[in-house]
Amino acid sequence: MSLLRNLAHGLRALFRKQRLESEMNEELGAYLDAAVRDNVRSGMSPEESLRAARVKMGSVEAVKEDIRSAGWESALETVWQDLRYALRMLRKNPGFTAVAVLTLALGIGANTAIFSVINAVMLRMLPVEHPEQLVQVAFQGKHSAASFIGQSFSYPQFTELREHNQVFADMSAFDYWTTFDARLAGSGGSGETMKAQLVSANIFSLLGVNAVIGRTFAPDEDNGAGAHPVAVISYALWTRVFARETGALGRKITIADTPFTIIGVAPAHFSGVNPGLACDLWIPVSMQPQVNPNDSLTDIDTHWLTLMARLKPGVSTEQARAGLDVVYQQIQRQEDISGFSDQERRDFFSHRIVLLPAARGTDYLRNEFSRPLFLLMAMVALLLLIACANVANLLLARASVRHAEIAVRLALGAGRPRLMRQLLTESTLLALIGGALGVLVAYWGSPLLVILMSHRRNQVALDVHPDLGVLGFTFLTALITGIAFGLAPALRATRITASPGTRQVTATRGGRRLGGVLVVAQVALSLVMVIGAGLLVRTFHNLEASDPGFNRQGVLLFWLDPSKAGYKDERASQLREEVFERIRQIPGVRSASFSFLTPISGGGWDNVARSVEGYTPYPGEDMEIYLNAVGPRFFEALGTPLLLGRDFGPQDGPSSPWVVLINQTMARRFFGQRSPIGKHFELGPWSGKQGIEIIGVVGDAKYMSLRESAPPTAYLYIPQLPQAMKPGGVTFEVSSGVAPMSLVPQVRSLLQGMDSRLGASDFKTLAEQVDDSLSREKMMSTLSAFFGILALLLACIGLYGVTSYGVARRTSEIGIRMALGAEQRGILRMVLSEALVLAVIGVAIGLPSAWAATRSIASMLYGLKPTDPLTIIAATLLMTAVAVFAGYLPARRAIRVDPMVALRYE
Amino acid sequence: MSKQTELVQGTLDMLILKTLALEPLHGYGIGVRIEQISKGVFRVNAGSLFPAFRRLERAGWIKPEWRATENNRRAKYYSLTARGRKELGASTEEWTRQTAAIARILEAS
Repeated sequence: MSLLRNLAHGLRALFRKQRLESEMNEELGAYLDAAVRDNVRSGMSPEESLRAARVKMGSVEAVKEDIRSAGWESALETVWQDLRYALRMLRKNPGFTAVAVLTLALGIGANTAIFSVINAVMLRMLPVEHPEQLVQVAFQGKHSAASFIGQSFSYPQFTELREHNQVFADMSAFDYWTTFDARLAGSGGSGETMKAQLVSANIFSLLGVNAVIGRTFAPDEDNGAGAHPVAVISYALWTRVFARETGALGRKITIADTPFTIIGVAPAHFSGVNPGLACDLWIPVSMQPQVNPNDSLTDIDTHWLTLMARLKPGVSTEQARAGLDVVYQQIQRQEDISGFSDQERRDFFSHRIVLLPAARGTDYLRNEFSRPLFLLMAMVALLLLIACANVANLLLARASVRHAEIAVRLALGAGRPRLMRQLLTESTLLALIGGALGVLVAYWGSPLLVILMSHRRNQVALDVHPDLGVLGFTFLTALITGIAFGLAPALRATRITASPGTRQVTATRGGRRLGGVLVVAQVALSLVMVIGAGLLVRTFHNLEASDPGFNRQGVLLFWLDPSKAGYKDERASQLREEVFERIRQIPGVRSASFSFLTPISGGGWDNVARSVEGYTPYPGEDMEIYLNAVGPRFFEALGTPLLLGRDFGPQDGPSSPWVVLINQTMARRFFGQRSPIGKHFELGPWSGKQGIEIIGVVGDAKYMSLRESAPPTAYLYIPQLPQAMKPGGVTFEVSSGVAPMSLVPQVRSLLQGMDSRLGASDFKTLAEQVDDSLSREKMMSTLSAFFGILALLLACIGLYGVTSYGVARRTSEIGIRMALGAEQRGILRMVLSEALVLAVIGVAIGLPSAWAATRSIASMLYGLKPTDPLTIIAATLLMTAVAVFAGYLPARRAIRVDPMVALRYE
Repeated sequence: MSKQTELVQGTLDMLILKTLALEPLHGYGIGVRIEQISKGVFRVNAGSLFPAFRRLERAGWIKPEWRATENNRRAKYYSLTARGRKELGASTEEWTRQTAAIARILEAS
């Protein structure tokens, strides 16, 4: 096979140079000899023959060189030669190399860091068997006019779907939304908190994940509520807490006062099917009653489970979808919809199964972060471009220094492509070294980015270690970068006509222009980044400072569920009231209350308002309102003003007519300018025949997020709710003038004093909760500011470089001017204007580019438009100031030029 | 004396193979033979021949062997391998086909 032979020959040529050299000499010698013989035979004298033969053959060395280049190994050798030369050049100029490498490391590193996160969030497949066969079962439905994708099912729905389908190899369920705090048994209240997730017993077999030690769940561990307190722990937990001892099996972990026995350890790198949510352990869904009484294994209407299934081989996604839909429709028909209105009935039966690809796990994190991450990627790409321009300028400056060397090489016969290859090797080597350092930068930077993405409620745990894909990306980026910034300088450097002997190094006019173009590009790109950063920073600030309609500061929140301590029904209500009264007695507490939901908590309760007195909806109108159930003095505690009517009071008890407080938006929506006091409406069959009476109007308070304005909201009174509707646990709000968290010990001891079994959990301040909802904006604000400053810095350096080089070049000119009487001011102006002109052109190009670019982030902004004049003007002024600063130092140097010295310097 | 014509690489390879089809030769001999048979139209110098030898050797079409020349000098004698013979046949056929087609095109008015 000629390929192998080619390879073998080439290798032999590389490693047996001496032998081949002597062989070639011998063969060529024989050739010459034969030629001479021939010439002699044809009548020439011996000396003539030799000369003629030699002339005909040409230079022996040239022939040998031709022979050598006929093999692939010669190309390899030249590359190797180029590399060694490049390394030597870089070593000889440590200053230049250091600056270039650092700049590149920053630029490439930032790109790699963001890419690692993108890789972990969006690209990486789950570490399970055949992830491409996995799908998430969801349904598409209509809610009035809008369609939505529902991802939660009830347990009976899950079992029905699983048992009666023909299209899936298996289906499993897990609770995505709730994780539980778990503690090592016997560690008392101390010891670290771990996260547990409820999963159906077959999830590990469905995923094809086997235990490293011990076992995963057995199929029968799905049956029997509360009968199987077993747990599978993650590899990370096993390492962290148990130091990878096999003795971890059989140890107990407590969740909600129930001990679970560890039966197995999951493999390394497996952290569940939810990217970003790092579970420490998994427990069977049959244990739900013990750990999470709010959900249910039996109620068909409690939708809390996410479903994941594996397609049978040979079944397409569409076939599976259709097959499952048939089963789903049958289940739907079995549900009790007696209380539904016609519209709701229509909506309900419009639900259809959809299958979402689940090869990369559930998509919550992706949806949350894909836009910000892409935006960040665009920013660091811009940053890299700016950094490349800087390095290119450095190379240009160096090229003019190497003018003589290149001229000599050209004169000696080096081809231009060959020289360019050499120069490109240098720049690529620079870029690769920068890239290698960049991987280090990313190694530290990506975890930082993940921390910025997290917040207390939703700790994002991502495995961002650089894997092969990330390294490949870095390598490719470095390669392209090296060629990008090296090409133009290489072209320019080799364009010089050979004219060695000039002592003064003058840059060609074209070289100067290229440098100027690069700086202008830098300024333009930096301006775009600064404007973008300004918009994002101001967005965050606007959100932070916006009035949410309630007191953010000074409010402590905690979760109390009396049923965990054995209190049920009546006694639970009484306990709540008692806690409420006692807490108000704590010194420093201004007001307190409790409620089902708190603002910006990530949860919501919506319903449809019906039969609103005095309001006729048009057909198909969306009558959706949001609800909350609150205790006494709720609005006082949260600082939401009462605008009309009265607050809830002792006269509103379980047997009194239902009353409700609505917010201003709801009042305006349904009643316009008229007073809604005394009007009634209904919320469904459970609100009774006479409906609910409106007794007051409160100010608008933001509900789901700070960005959206307050929706129409109605507040029910917890003491009035029927037992079945009463929430098991409520969140208490405590408003005070002191730091909220300082009240925690007092609250704890108060509860302990009332009943030692009572435990409150999830202590946090309302301010923290609201801040958590802004974590994305905060991340974007912080990072874009950081990158914007970096970009400014790079542009400043670029301007400084070009101006300083200009001054150095024009030293004699400046000397002449000064000798001829030019004032210092004139020289200053001359130099500064060089920098300013470049900056102004850059700004002129940057402004329309920014206008085009920022349009894409319009949806991420709050309180300002992408064309916000204040931001744009501020950014432009900042850039101008930077340009002046960059030009100032070289300008000062120019003034201090001694004319006599300058004139003598040729 | 007819003009000296430049030889394209692939054509040179074919001519060398043809030359060796008759008998094994060393480098100079091949060059001379080509010149002779083409009646001086093609004069190939060392700078083209020897790289061609290396290529052909790597492709497995010719096989070198050190032998003594008439002057008792050591030289590499190249001979055609079986695969080389096959390649010669194939490229000759291809060449004939192409030249016939070109001739047809040129003759058509």
